[in-house]
Order: sequence, then structure tokens, then C-alpha cells
Amino acid sequence: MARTSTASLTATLDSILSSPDFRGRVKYVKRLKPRKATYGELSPPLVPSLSNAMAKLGIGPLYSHQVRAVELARTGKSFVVVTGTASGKTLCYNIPVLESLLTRERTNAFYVFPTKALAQDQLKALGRIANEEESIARKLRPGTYDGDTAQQTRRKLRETANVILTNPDMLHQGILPYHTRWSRFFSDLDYVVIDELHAYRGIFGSNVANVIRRLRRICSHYGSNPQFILCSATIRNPRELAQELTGVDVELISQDGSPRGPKLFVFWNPPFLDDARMERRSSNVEAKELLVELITKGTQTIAFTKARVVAELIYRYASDDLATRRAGLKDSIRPYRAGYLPEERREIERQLFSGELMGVVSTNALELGIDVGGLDASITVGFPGTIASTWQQAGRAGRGTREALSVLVAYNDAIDQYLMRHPEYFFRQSPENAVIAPDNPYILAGHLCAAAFELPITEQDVELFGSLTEKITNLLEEAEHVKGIDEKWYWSRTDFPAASVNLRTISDDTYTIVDVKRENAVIGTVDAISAPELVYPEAIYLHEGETYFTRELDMEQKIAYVEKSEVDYYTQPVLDTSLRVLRQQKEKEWAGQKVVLGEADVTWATTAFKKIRFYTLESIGYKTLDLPPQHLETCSMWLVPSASLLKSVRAGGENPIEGLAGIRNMMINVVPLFAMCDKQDIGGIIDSSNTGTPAIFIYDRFRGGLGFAEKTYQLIGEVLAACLSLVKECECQEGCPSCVGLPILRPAQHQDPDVYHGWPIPNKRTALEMLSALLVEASVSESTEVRQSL
Amino acid sequence: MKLSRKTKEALSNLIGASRALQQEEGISAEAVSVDEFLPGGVLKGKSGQIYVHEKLRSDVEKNTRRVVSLYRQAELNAFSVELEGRARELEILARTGFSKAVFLDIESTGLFNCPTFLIGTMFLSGDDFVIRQLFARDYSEEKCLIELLSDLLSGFSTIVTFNGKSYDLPFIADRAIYHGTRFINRMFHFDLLHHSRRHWRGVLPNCKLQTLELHVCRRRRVGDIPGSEIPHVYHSFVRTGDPYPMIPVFHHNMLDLITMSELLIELMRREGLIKMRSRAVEG
Repeated sequence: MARTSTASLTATLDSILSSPDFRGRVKYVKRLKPRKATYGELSPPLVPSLSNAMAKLGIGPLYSHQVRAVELARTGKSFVVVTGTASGKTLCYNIPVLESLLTRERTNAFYVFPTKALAQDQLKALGRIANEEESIARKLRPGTYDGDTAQQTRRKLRETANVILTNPDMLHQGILPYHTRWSRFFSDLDYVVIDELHAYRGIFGSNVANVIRRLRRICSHYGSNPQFILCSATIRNPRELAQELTGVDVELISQDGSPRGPKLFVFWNPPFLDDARMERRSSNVEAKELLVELITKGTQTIAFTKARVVAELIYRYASDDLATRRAGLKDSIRPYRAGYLPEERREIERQLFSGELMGVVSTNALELGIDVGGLDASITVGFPGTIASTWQQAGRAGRGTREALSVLVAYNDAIDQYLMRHPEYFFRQSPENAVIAPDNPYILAGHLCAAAFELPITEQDVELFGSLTEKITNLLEEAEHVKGIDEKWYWSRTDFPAASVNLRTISDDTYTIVDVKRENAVIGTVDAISAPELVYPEAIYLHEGETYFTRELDMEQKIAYVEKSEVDYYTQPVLDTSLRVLRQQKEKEWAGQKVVLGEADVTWATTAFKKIRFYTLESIGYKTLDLPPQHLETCSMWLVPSASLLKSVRAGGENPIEGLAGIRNMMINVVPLFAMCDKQDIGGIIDSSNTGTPAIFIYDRFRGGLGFAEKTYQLIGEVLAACLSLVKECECQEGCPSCVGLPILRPAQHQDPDVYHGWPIPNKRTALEMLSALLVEASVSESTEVRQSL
Repeated sequence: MKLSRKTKEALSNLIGASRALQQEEGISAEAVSVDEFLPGGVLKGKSGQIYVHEKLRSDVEKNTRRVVSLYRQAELNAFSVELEGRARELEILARTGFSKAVFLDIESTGLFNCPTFLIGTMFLSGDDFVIRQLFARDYSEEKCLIELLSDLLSGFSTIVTFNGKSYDLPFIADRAIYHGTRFINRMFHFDLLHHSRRHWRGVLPNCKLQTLELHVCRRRRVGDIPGSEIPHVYHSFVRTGDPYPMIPVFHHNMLDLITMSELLIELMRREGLIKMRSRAVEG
């Protein structure tokens, strides 16, 4: 099957664009110019064996950022490399580590990856280098150390390996608690490599930051002080994230010296179905048609979807379509799932390389995965949630300096539509901040227990773990988990604390969902905060495309009992939320309004639910519930509009509360863009009881807060400016779910995102006017400041 | 490990903490301390101090004189036998002499990666055995415990244990690494478990020490503390300072040591190092 030659990719795209079937889709085409490589010279140069090995593998000369990395590594500094996909980031750590191995007597390194698959890939890469040079092969003793490693191999690695490739979970439960068996390794630990830094955000990142704190104190115990080398996709704050994650000073390398072929980046929006301009054609179908068209024209393409169900759907329809187009094309496309065995992955790689396979459909899992090399085109079906991920997916298209095509197909969702109207937002500097909160007391407590088990907690640990260390340690002592003797706190229980800390959750507060028809087999879990909204009694729970009826919710035992049932409706909870401010931390004035950051106790109860028929979206029932309210103590920010603003809105005959509600809805859509969280990670209400006047509260839906409300507080001006753009440019008349309407909150996991629900929608114009007034005010005060400072 | 509701509530208060958290004053030292029940004294080492409880085997077991004389017999006979295979170890042990051997059994707070707190030792001294139990009264004394054990062992050339090759010695070595203290053990190590298996695997239901104790040594324990409770008892002791519950732990450890010494006799009898009329070692 012949693949598209360089010049004809543009021709393929032109023919697609001019086809009547695809009229009106393309909202924007960005031509990314090719970039020549910028090289650098190392002085002093690499040791001959290393440069020989690289030359034999066809690696080199080194790009400027790789040279900078080696230079920084040589000075003992920690640094983070933020360059594009396929820019040779791994050499930024492999070269320093190999150089050390060849020049020092003893040197050890941890390589930490978010997945086992990545670790395996990198082990292979190291092996390839060692194969070329005897002297490297003699010194390098690498191995993956994770859940799949056999017992005998584990002992051998502990005793002899010098490069250990692992993942945070293994470090957390399988290595650090057993550090005495690793004393040799820790004593000469010179490097800790952390790849895919941007994956360590939110809860996961907050937990991993604590794992690293524990690692550093163990290193201290054995007399080592490793330098950190991190690699990240493009986010706004890589250096800040790296420093928060590791606790050390980190330099930034962001100038990308690698070459780029020319790329076409296309923004593709399915057309409206009707004149009311509320519904669009299915994005999944559009993506499938595009995929089929590209493959038929000989363009090797990868499609990324947000949910497995969608990947399966697109794969199935595409391969059926291809079968009708031309014989032999039906098998030219394959789905890719996380959890494939290494052999299966190799097989796909091989088939892609040989051209047997022309298309792959995958969920985002692939972006953290295999070395597929480059393809000709990528299709991203629905904005994956972050600009960083979108670029990573787009980065899969492009071989060397050949032309490539990347397409983003929008869902009919607020942010997707916003991007379609504001492509420049996507292409200029990333607004996305990865946020972590390692000092969240609920996260910290678990790790302090683990730390006490590893080594007694001492005063020095306050520097590592933060100001809450003492208070939490005292609490742990009260609870008889630790015992303080002579200013050292020892673990005083027989159990193994690391086993009860899950790096991906914030506490052991999870509900299990069991299927009563299958002897209470566990079919899923949900966090305690979401449970009353998702599996309240009589709720319809969606799981892997099937509908389950919730028979009972046991809040004591934290179990939801469900049974599969064929229903033609789904349910939507009605929540009664209230908020009580506990403490103010910071306050500032913005655009003449008061903005505050603090701690709040959020209470909510599911008081009722609606039954809504699928597809027609008609409401077919309503029932009240009597569930106990939930409490959540967390971080919140609030915006208190001034009396004069409220007055001027009322004077115009509008209801300011509706305006605030619309703004609140938009903030929930927009904040994730700035704080790299999901919509379901934050909540918001309008409340007057705390401030005596209506205020918008945005809070983190996690005990103790995770930093999202805080980031919102910091960037309030930018957040509201984005809200204004959103509402101004939405093409609806009175307001819609894509702007001031209630955003799609917490869709059941595998639900087709094309479906959305109807809710009363606040007045669009009010929101628009209020925001405009605020932002005008903001720019006035800014220029006043500027003038004052002149 | 679950954070109790109380802890959770406290943590909740903490993040909204405006009132200072009051720490309760630690419970003051109990009027009754360890040495009321387990006489001994404090032993100082480089890194601190530990408690040592000592008694004579003859205070506890009537048959001690007999046992000692059987050991002496074995030492003499050792030069006139030639044992083969694994049994050669017995020969070496006897030839080296039992005054150079020390029995060892540790009690710890778990299988691995956790502190040890009681190291029981027993050795021949004149015509009696001394049972010397080294005890870390809290976690901070463990380092000294290991150092003083090292010192003690340096006066001997053989260690006798039950499963010590897989458990006790690696455990101690691991804790030594943890504390950054040296523990080099080049002594000849005679592990009673390995030899017991040679004789009794398949014959007895299993080769646990207490099974052998019952069937081979003809001794039965009554009311002994279950091994699984020992860690909890120790943690509790560290917290509260109440020594009373610790007594059974010392007792258990001591019984283990005594049984080990009798098991050794039976092994030697089977290999012809000792000639006895019956199997029972009566006083």
C-alpha cells in the first residue's frame, strides 16, 4: 500500500476541503513553518566510547537543547527540558547518565516513568546504545523494577544494577519502604530522572511530590544528594511544577533545537444541524469520515479519542466504510488499547512501519506510549482537556522533515467551540498551569505515616514536608500511629502504611459499586464526594455502555448496589449546595471588586433527581430523596461584586443573580484551561449568606484543596476575560450550554459526549454586560496603575 | 491503616485551624518499671543504652545440670566420631566446644523492615547456662541493642539458632544497615531447623519449634503468648510504659532458647555424640 509522498499531503487536504461532503468544516488552518535544526558543541566533548556509540546509531550531531542539558548536568544542577515531541528529550538524560557511568567509579540513577510501558521502551533504548560499544555494555547494568519484575531478578537488580527504571507506585510501595535492601544503590544515587513531568499534576502529582520527599530523605540517610533531570510537554509553568514536585531548584531548558517539517494544523467544526443552531452533526461521525478519506488516499493516520467507547465505535464504522471503498482496506486499521502486551505493541509498530497498517484508533493512552515513529496525519476527536495533550497527539504526525497534517475535530462543548473561534488562544503561549498541592493535609498525613515507617520523623523533615508536619505528626501520635521519643517519631504499628496510600486518590474514601445480579461483583469505584451525585438510590449508572439501576446506597459501608437494567432514560441529580466560609487567607482588589482566597466548608445533598429520556431529552419524572448531606472542607476563592455594579445591573432591568450564575457556569468551563483540572474537579455556587451580598464561589472538590481555586484567585483577570470572549462570541441567541448554560458536569464515564442535557439557562445578556463592565474596569485600573508608576 | 474518624475530624479542623492544637502531655513514666518484674540492669553502649535481663537456666529448669553434663560428653565424643554430610556440622560444633557457642533468638515487631526489640541469648558458663536477654525499651534503643549484641557475639565463635539463617541473622543485618552501624558476622552458624528437617520432616506434622518441642523434647507449653500478638504487645509497651504485658514475651523468648538447647541434645544423640538410655532428658 503506497503511502502519500511529501508533496501530495497538501493535495490530499485540498481535495478533502474542496469536496462538497466536507464543506464548511474547516474553521482554521495554521501552517506551521518548517524549522531547521540548531546544533551545539560540547566542550569538553563526550568521551569517545559514547560518541562512537551514538554515531553508529545515527544519533547526532546534538541539538542545542541537548548540549545545554549535558552542560547543566555536568555542573550538578537539576533542570527540566520542555521541548516538543520527537525532539530527542531522552538523550538529555541518557547522555549525562552514561557519561557518568563511563567516568566515575560508581554512579546510580533512577528513571521514573508514569507507566510500565514507557519504562520498557526506555530500557530498550538504553540497550541499543550499549550494544554498540563494549565499554558501555560493561558498565551499564540497567533493569526495569516494577510489579512485573520476578523475585530473583529483583534481588539481582537491588544488588548490582546501576540504572533502575521504575514508576511512582513502585517507588512508593515497593522500593522506599525497603530501603535497607537498597543501601548500596542509594549510597551512590547521583540522578533521578522524571519523564513526562506534566503527568504529575492534581492528586497524582501531589502524592508523587510526597514520594519524592521521602526519596530525598532516604538519600540523605545514605549520604547521597541526587540531581533531578525532568522532561515535560509544553505547559505554562514547567519550572514551577518541577520545583514543587522535587523540592529543589530547577533550571529551565525550553529552546527547542530540533528540526521540524512543515505541518498543517486544521481546526474542524461539524456543521449545525438546524437553523436554531443548537445542535451540530456528530463529531464522531465526522472524524470517522475524515479518517476513511485520508486512509483511502494513502495517508497513514492516527485518531485519538477521549473515551474507549468512542474509539471502538470509530474503529468499527471506519473499517466497515473502508471495506466498501476498496478491497483490502478493511484490515488496514486497528484499534489500540492501553494494556496491550509488549508483543502486540511491537506488532502494531511493525505493521505501521511496513505500511500494512494505515490507521490506528486510540484513546489518549497512546500519547504516553509506544514508539510508533511518525505517521502522516493525526486526528484528535474532541479537545482532550489540555492544550499540552493536544500537541502531544499532534506530534505523532510527521516523519522527520516531511510534511504532516493534524486535525482537531471539535465537540459541541463550550471549550471546543471556544477554541474553534479562538485558534490563536491555542497557538500562542500555553495558558495551562499544572497545579499540585503536596501540603494538602489529607495527602500529607498518609505519606508522613509512610515516612515514619521508613525512618523516624525528625525536625529536619519539616523542611521537606512543610509547616503542617508538626501538627500532623502530633495528630498521628494521638491516634497511636507513631510514638515520639527524644524528638524522633517512630512508626508504632504493625501494619504497612504505604499500602493504604493510593497515589491517585486523596484518601481512602471510595465507594465501591457492586452488581447485585452477579453476586456483588465490584464493577467500579467512585470517590466519596461524587458518590451521592452518581449512585443515589434509583440513579441510572452508566458503565461500559450499559445502564445500571441503583438499588441501594449504603453510606456507612460505602457501597452502592446496582443491577443491570434496560432503560430508555437516564437520571440527573438535583443538588442543594451551601457553603460556609471558615477562614480568609488572602484578599485583593480587582477591577474595583473584592476577590478572596480562603477555606470553606461546602455542604451538599442530593435532594431530588430527574428522569430524562435518551435522545429526545424530555423530562419524564422527578423524585425527591432523603440523603444525609455531605461535608467538604476545602479551598475556595470568591468574587464579591461591588454594590455599585449590582445597582447598575438592576437599573438596567436585569437580574444580577442570573448574571452571576452565568458567569459562574462559564468559570467552571474556563478554569480547567488555566489550572489543568477537569470540570468535575471544581465546583461553584452563588451565595449571599457569607458576605451579606451575592458572591461567586469557586472551590476545589477535594478535601483540603488541590490548588485550583488558588490558581483561579491568582489569575482572576485572565479567567474572566476568557469568560467574556466565550459569551460574546457564542452564536446562540439567548444562552446555551456552550456559554452561560450549566456545563455538562460529571458525565457518566463512558457516555457519548455528543449528548447533552437541558437545564434552565441564565440570561446571557446579563452575564455579558456584567463581565464587560468588570473588564473595562479592570483595564482602567491597570492603566491607572501604569500611569501611577510612570 | 485507616485514619480514625477522630483523626479525620481533627485533620478537618486543622485545615481550618484557627484554634491552636493542644498536645496532651505524654504519660509520665510508670511507677512500676521493667526491672520490677524482670530483674536486670541498664547496659550502656556507644549509641545509648538498653536493658538487660539475666537469669540462670538452673533457676528455671531442673534438668540443667544433666544438660550441661551431656554437652560435656558430646565435646569429648566429638573427637572419636566421623560424621558425614550435613551432620558434619554437628561434629564441628561439638569439637569447637560449647563454651564457645551462643544460642540466639530474636523477637521483632514483624517479618521484616521493622524494628527488633528483644534479642535472647544463652550460653554455657561453668556448669550452668546464662540466659541473657537484651531489650530495647523503645525504638530509640534499637541501634544500641544491635551494637551490644555485636559486642556480646564477639566473645563466641559459634551461633546456634532455629531458622536463624533465613530469619534472625538477615533481620539483624538489615536493621544494622538501617541504623548505619556495622554488624559483620563471620561466626560459624548452626541452624537447628535445617538439621531438624533432616530427621523429622515427614515424620512429624511440621518442623515448627513448638511441634519439635512437644514431640522430641517432650515438653508442653501452657498459656504461652501467641507469636502474632508479640508485636502489638511491644508497641503498646512503648506507648504506655506498662511492663506487665511484656513478661510473657520475655518468657516466650526464654522458652524458645531452652527448647533449642534440648533439641540440640537430641540431634547429637541421634548422631552418636551422646549416649543416653532414653530420649527424655530428665533432671
